[in-house]
Amino acid sequence: MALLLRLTKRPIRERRWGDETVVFDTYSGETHHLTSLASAMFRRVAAVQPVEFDAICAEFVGVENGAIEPEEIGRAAARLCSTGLLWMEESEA
Amino acid sequence: MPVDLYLRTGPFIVHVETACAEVVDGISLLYDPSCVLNRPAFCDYHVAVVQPLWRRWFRPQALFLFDGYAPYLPGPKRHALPMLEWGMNWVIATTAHQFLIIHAAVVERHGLALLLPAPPGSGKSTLCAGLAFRGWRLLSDELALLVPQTGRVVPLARPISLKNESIDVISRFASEAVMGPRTEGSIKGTIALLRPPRASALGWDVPAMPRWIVFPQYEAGAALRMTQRSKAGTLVELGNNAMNYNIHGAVGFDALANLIDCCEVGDFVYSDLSAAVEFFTAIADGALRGDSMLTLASAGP
Repeated sequence: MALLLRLTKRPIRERRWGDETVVFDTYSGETHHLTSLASAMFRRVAAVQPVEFDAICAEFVGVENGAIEPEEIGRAAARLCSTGLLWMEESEA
Repeated sequence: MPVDLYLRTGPFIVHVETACAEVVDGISLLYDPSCVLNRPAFCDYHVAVVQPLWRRWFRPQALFLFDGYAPYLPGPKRHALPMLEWGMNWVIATTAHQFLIIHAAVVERHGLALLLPAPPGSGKSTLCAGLAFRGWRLLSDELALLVPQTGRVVPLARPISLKNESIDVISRFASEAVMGPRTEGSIKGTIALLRPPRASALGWDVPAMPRWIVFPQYEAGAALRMTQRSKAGTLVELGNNAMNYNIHGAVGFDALANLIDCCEVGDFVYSDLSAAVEFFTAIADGALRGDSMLTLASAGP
């Protein structure tokens, strides 16, 4: 059983500067500042979804010779889920 | 007997009713004569500074009213003038939602505006006053009125509220500056209101295009330095500093994002006011040649 990441179906506005992103959630009225890792993960999920969390971990840990720890990726995913921008679910397979 | 005064402060006309001599004398001292109108046909706001009947003689108090409503508790009568200024800020910040209102000082040179958002005690008002008395036009010491549709900042040039040590700093820096009486024992310490330069008062209807957003911080003995700041983090910080960002919703987000798109942003540390003023003036003059703030900052003061 795998964990899948999806975008929640919220109308958002997004601005990007460098590798950082700011997202405005028009449902909640909240503004979220996504640092580089969270921003990259958000864009990755937005590009092709759903994405397996393990696949994202493998992909991101490989970046810059493993400079990113899996725990950091987990924290970034948890933050994205807590803001309501991403949704995590278990695959049926 | 109460006196009726009509003040033009930026895009607003405020009717002030008061019998407090401190307020009448203060307005006469701190507002340019061109800002005091003679019974205009329409007023945006009706405010009053009154003395509660039972506290006119025993430890006299003053009370600020907006359309008869008192947003604050009464304070000592000697605080009547700052109370009026704080009250007018409160009235504008809570009602003028045609603007996105950011808690920031704004000054302008060559048509380009410098926004100085910062918490109290950061040296924002001191730097703002210093710039205003060295050729920059004061747009506001406290509230940046951003028009979401145009991205421009509308002036709201009112007396600058100087606190504690900055009162003497500005007295020495600009001997020509007109300052109101010192009000001691306020919640913010000792306060003195500074009359804006005449050119700032006369430019009440000339908006400016933001070019720089700088978060100043006074640090005793620190060398002057400017460092680049995250634009994404700045948007969130400005949203937190804005009085009505939550009211504007997506329009407010777009306005802030557009503001940040067209500005250079930085953190600025200073201890020497003269050096800081020269530094920003060089940046504004350099902008005419197309130089960027951060390029000039990296070249050194």
